[in-house]
Amino acid sequence: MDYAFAFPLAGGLHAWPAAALRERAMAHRARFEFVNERTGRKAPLNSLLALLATDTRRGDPCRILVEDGNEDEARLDLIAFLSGPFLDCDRNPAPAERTSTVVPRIIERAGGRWWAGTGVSEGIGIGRVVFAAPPNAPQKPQGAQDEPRTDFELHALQQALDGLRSRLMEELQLASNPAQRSVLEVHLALLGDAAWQGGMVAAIREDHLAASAAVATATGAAADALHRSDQQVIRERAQDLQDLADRLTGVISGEDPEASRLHLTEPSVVVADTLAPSRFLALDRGLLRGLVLAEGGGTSHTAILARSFGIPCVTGLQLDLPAGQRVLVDGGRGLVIADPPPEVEAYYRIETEGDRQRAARLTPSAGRTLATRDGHRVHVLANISTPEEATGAFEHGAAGIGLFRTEMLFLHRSTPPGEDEQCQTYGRILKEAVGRPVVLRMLDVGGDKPLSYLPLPQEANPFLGRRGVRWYPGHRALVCTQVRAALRAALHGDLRLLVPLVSDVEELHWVRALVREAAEELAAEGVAFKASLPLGIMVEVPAAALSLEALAREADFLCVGTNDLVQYLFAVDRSDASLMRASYEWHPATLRLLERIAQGGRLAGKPVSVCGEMAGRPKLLPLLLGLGFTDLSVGPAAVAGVRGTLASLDAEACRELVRKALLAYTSSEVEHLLDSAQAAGTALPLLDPELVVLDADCRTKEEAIKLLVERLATAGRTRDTLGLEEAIWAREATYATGLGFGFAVPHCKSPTVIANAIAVLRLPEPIEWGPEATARLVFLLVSRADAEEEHLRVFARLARRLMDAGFRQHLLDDPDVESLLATLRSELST
Amino acid sequence: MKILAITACPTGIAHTYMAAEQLERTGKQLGHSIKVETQGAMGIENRLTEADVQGADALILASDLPIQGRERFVSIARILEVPVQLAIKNPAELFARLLV
Repeated sequence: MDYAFAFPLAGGLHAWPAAALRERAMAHRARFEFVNERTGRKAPLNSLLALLATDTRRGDPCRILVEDGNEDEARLDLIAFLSGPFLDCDRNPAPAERTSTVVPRIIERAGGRWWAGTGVSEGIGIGRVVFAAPPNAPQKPQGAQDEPRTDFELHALQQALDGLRSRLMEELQLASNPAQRSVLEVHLALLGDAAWQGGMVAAIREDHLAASAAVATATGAAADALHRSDQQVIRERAQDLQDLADRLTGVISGEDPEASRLHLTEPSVVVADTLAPSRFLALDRGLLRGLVLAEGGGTSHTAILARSFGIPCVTGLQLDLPAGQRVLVDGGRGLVIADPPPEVEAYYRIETEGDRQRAARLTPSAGRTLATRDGHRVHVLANISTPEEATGAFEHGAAGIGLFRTEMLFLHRSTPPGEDEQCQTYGRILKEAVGRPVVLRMLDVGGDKPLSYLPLPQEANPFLGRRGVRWYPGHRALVCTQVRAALRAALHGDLRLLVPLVSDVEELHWVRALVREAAEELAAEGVAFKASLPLGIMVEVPAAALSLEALAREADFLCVGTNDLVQYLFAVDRSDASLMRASYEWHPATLRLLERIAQGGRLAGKPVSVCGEMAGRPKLLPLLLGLGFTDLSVGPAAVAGVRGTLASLDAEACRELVRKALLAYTSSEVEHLLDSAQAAGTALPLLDPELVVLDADCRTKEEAIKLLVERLATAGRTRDTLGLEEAIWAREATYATGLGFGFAVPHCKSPTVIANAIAVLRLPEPIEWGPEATARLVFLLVSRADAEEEHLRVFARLARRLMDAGFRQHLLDDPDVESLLATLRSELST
Repeated sequence: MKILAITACPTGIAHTYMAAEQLERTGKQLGHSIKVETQGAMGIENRLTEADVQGADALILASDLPIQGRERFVSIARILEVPVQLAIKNPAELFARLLV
């Protein structure tokens, strides 16, 4: 019996998903074989190395064969895994975003030594160089031994494997960082690899090698197989293999792992040819300010870990510097600067401060209440699948759990969870929520998400089959248990029940009756529970959207599941990447249906939230907000970003946008409207108190421009600080913009500008501005490529007024930001 | 004297207008009749017409790029061409040059 599928993950079958697949398969007695039809390679699912060596890429035709054991159950479970959790296994943190090859001018101007490599983990760090020597000199491969001590060596090997395994398990238990956990899971899977271990045992038995030599031999062979891959993410796992081999050899030779650990005693930048993941993890991250490596790319585990822990990292450099030398690492641009001069440090301080301020605006300390720029209240909630995810969601500022998918509790096991277990799990989330709402979506299983203990008949089209609420009448007891657990748990907070895949009001009646009966049962049994739970429906079937009047009257709240809604609206299987188009989400048909839903909810006075993936796409938020959706539920990782985007939007402008979008004929027309609405910058003012700086002490022109650019970014006028900075300097290159009487007017017209603005900097002392000019007052004018004439007119007027000595004196004398702005406003009004 | 001028700069959002302002102020102070056309981001403003060109004594082109509609001025004998910065930093000197 086999299962054929097209490999779904964009990153291919690299170590993280392969480790997850292996772990899932190992829970069964059955033996599985993975076959890649494109490469013709096969691998048992219990060997991570063999899986990696299949060199599987997205779209490859693959099969999984089940060889023995309880085939049906194992097969169903694996299919459920492949079509569900497996799709989330690819969350490899993305490489550095602030990537620019432009070296800040101040570095070249300041002189001194600096190097440009490849930035693989963003951030700025300053510390003293500490060299990390290779772990332990590679042991001389011992040849065959004179006297066969096979049993002794086998025993030593087994002890080392067991010892390292328990150490990794301990490390995993202590690890809370998700990247660290993933790396440790991969290391555990590699360590348990049957082929690798088999190679070690064979080297001892057949070639009579000592244990450590056997490890080296088997590792060499396994690493060769990885090196043959044409994918870097697979080749790089050889480094992890070597890391484990080194640790194994260390255990065999009785080495103290503490001895090879690098001790940091002051803020440090660690410099090495390569640094194994385990050695990185052993560093004191409280003192680690940066990493400079000669080898390794952005997908090496060390780079991934560095990103995850926020440690700046540059690769491709061999620094010829003494230990103890102070260096600055710029992980975004890939620069290392020896003994950074004060003006370079000042430049980077401004950049770091700008980043910090922008991050602070997105953090939950800004409070749970969130409003759009024009003051409309909005809420960002989180979609979660496991209770663990709730913690992270609240840390990111979620106003509640908008969708708890309870399937996960039911999927990975041989019997369904009991009432007490469910009650505990729900209660745990409610306690974590401390009063914030938690929307519990009732069990949503069916042909597409099969349960191993409830084999379902094969359906020709599971997405149109017995899913969601349609499945309930046949499994009443199971649903009733969940409802009883929810009623009991609700004593701990604001729990709400959500019914999936409703298309008809009678389905809602059925569930309401069930909830009533469950409550009566509990009351009769004398068990404590909360008598009234809000009962809402998922609006994810077009029929529900079109009979919203009836449904909204009966339901307490509505939650739009855009993923299924779009799939059913366009009759396209959403798992088929060749058919499913992202643009269906902003197709006029989708928007019209969403408008109907929003309106139906409003008329009935029932809250409507959106919990599909659409809500997590910043680009589409103006549409959702404009349609009137103010409660959005998104993945935990997207919460902060969605909050930030919503806070920057103007609800009235979004409504205007939607009015136009509803008249569009195609997705591309809507896209055009979205782009031009974004370009219009939704009316941020030219003058803004945030953009007037009177208390800064900049010593150089570079610092002054940098400071104003950072302010512009913090005030939402640009998202590309480096690009804007470059545009300003490109303009300065034609001739400096100093005016010769202590004023400078740097300016640019650039696509990096979101909204036109005038930024002002007044300094206590004049600074040099070009060959013959100095500046005490700097006006930075930034303009979009297609600026409105109204703003250009203000720029022109300011330029003209600056020729007036009286006006200039006024600007120099204005005591504070407000009076300076008042002067500007009165003089510039046209 | 009746003096005409055109200002233009690469971005067209600042120097064009600063130069125009300086030329207008200084010209008036020196007792000239002065009209300045700007060729900036908003396009051509305060356009010099045929009537303006009639009887004009001189033309100042304070610009960092080729001027649009140059053919309008074939009848003017004295044309001073300078970078836009010069009109901002030292406008009086430009008028002095025209008087020589």
